[in-house]
Amino acid sequence: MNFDISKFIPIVQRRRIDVLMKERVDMVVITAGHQIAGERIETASLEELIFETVSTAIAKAGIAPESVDAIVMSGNDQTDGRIISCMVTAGPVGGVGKNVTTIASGPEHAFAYAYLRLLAGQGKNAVVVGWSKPSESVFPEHAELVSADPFIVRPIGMNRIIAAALQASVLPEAERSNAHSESANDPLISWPLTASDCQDHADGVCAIVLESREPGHVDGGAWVRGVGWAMDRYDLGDRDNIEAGGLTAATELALKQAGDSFGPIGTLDAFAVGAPNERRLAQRLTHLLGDDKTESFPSIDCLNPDFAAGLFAIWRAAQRVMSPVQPNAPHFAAAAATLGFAAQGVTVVLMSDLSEV
Amino acid sequence: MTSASETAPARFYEQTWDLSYRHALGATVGVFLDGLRDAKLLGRQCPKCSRVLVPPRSYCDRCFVETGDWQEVANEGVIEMMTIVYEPFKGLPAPPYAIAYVLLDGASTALLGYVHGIDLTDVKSATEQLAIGKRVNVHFSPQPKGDVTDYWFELSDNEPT
Amino acid sequence: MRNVGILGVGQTDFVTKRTDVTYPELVREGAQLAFDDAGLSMTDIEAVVVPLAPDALIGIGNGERWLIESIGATGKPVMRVNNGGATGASAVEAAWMHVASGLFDVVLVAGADRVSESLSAQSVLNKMWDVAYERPYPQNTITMLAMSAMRYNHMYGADERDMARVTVKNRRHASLNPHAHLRELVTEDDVLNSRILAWPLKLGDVCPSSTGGAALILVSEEYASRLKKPVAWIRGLGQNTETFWMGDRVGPQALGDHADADALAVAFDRAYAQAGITDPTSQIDVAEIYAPFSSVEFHVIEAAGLCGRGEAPALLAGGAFHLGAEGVVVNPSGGTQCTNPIAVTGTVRVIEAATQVLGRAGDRQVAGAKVAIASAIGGDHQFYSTFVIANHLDPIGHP
Repeated sequence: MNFDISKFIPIVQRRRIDVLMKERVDMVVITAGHQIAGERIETASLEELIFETVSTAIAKAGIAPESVDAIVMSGNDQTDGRIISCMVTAGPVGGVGKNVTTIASGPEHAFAYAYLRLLAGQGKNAVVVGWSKPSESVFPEHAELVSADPFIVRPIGMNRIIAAALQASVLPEAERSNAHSESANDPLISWPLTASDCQDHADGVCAIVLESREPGHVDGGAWVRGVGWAMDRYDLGDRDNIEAGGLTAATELALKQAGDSFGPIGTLDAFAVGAPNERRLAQRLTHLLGDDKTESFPSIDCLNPDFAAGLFAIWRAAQRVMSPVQPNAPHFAAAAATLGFAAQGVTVVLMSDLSEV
Repeated sequence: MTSASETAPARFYEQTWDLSYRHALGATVGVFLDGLRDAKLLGRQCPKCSRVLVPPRSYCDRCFVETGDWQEVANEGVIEMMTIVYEPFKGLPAPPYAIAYVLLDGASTALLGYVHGIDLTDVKSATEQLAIGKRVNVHFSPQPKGDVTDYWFELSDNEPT
Repeated sequence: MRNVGILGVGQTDFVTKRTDVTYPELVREGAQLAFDDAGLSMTDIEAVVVPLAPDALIGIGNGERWLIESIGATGKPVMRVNNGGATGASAVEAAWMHVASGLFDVVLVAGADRVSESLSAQSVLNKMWDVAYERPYPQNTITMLAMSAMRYNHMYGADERDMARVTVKNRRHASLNPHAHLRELVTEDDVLNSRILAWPLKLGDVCPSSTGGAALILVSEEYASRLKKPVAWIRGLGQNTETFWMGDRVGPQALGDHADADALAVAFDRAYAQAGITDPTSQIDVAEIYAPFSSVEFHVIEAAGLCGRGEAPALLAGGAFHLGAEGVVVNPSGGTQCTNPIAVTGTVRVIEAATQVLGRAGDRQVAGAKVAIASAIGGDHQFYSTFVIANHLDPIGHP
């Protein structure tokens, strides 16, 4: 872990563009959101869960259904057991008569896309919806296996836990696992990960309402100050699993929008499969953001609905600046979400309760 | 790569996705399926646009509100659109078969189902008999399986007036 | 708002099968053609949007993760769009947002499809319907459009010979397009005598399953101005969504009819408003519209405002919409009916529209084309995406 931030900052300064301030009056703010999550939610259909989540979120934002300008959504067809699941979910997200886009690479990308739409001046608001209901799969791991390339990785066998274990295996020995050693009540799942390192499957839907507003104060809002996303190589063997290239590139892109004066980050929510990988990701991100003192909340303590877990992490981070519990709560929050085997894709969202740079 | 393809034989790697699901249907679908056992077709009404949605859904996608009252609709109605399939598709039933969307009396939206009781070998005659506007009755299976194929449509003896 | 233009396009020749390349390699082929056309390389690209529709048809979940290295996108922002059949067009809209947002100046859309690798496409596509109410029936994309076609014919007095005329036109156009998949000329009787799949649709009415790659590069006006290269400008774009429930599209309380494409008309209106189009019949030269089956072309022509409801069949029979005819030429490429690589079909519509307004369409060129429209349809006639593309930034409509 010898990342030199001084090498990084000049790149940020050189590439920073002031488009946000120069060409655009409005900025993007999260005004509401809602999540429903559970270990197994079997009394409601996927469509019903989505409807309830979205209608609650827009009601919290004070937006009537007919006033929603665009919906960006994301689910995983193999987890959903629906071949083009956006067909059946377009109704329950409130999409009839509206601009609906499915960003199938992940709900954190759907969030990024909604942000782009508002920056581009396409509507005054957008609702981001992400879902995952692995309890409907008889074997959720098999839905993960089919996203392995058919020629090499699939015949060998792969899922999110095995991939996370491969990633954790290159970490320094002391960081490879929470448990450090297996025990009867914390058995090895895939070396070096034990049960307590591994995210359980969970069901859930998360909806976040984004609006474009003039800079200023928005009660209970979280201004989106920068969003960055990047994909690393597909093949785990080709990646630098220590340096996490996707994270570095995503952070650079987010900082390009947020500017040098963003922060200090007070709170960080990250999601990666496998507790040690997530801790590593959070540490790397706080370094890149130039703030080693940031409090990071481990997602292992929360329900993380598989494919949608990244959007849940973004929503958790947003809430920490939207409705601070303590008077001296942090003004700046960061979220990091990951997708694909061993965090092939990383998305970084920078937020604050202030719009000012 | 084109040069390689000129000399190399095509190679394949056959894979089957083995994905099985237990889809949670939710309460509204359950009520509809239970109704079929009693030869009843139930819809739910949207409190805003007043449409009686058949098959019933727990929300109205047009008004984006929860649907309200349950309403039983008639076991007869008119064909709104249909097709007769003559082509075999892998994993789908052996042709020919006719499926139609029928607007049941009292419903605002049309219900999908098989149409039985028609000789489908002659296309012209079959499609004329099943034209838009033809009245059909709903029939129910005496041995319900608990899914929507427990009902089907047959041409009504009473021609539309 | 920033102006956004199409700097380069690429499409492979579309065929039934490609056994010489994998999916990532096929995406790379299309992307490379677009790079060559734009005079750029991957290092110039700031972000990528991947159009990829049902994972099951290419047999890999989230295939966008697999192709990162093949197009050199490591470390770049990449996202994937899946709006069913509209995917390839919605991906262009997504790329447009990237540039119009001000965050990016050069964005690549690159994708491919190889539907023929699925040995059970129509039974796979049955799994797109509602779990409880529809899947127990043998519903698929063909039955869905058969019912739209029979309803259109019933409402407007059209028939199967009218549908056959669409195929004859599109095949003639495709014969002039080296990239098209089905390029053999056919007669009306060939179509009418072909076997019935799902009445009234016959083999001659439906599209093939195509394999190939397509890509395009969008740039900001500032970026384009430095290159001194002709650019096809995206002047307007719009999307709209119809109810998923086909049974809700009939009867007196329906918002839109399954015979028509009412929600598509709204999407076109959104694009026209942005582009300043006030009279589609006189201000548009070319329409590259997504119509996988012959019957669909009629109601898309009407939704685009190129004629009134139910008028398209008679106009077509009178010679309209053909290459060389007066007025708007519809699908000079041969359209989706002759080439349907699902994930990139919408992308190809935009590519063809751009190629036409830049005057580079070869034998299929519409003389003097300045303004073109492109559209795509996804889901069960549910997701609609539309574009107005022109070779200039001057006002289009009359004030």
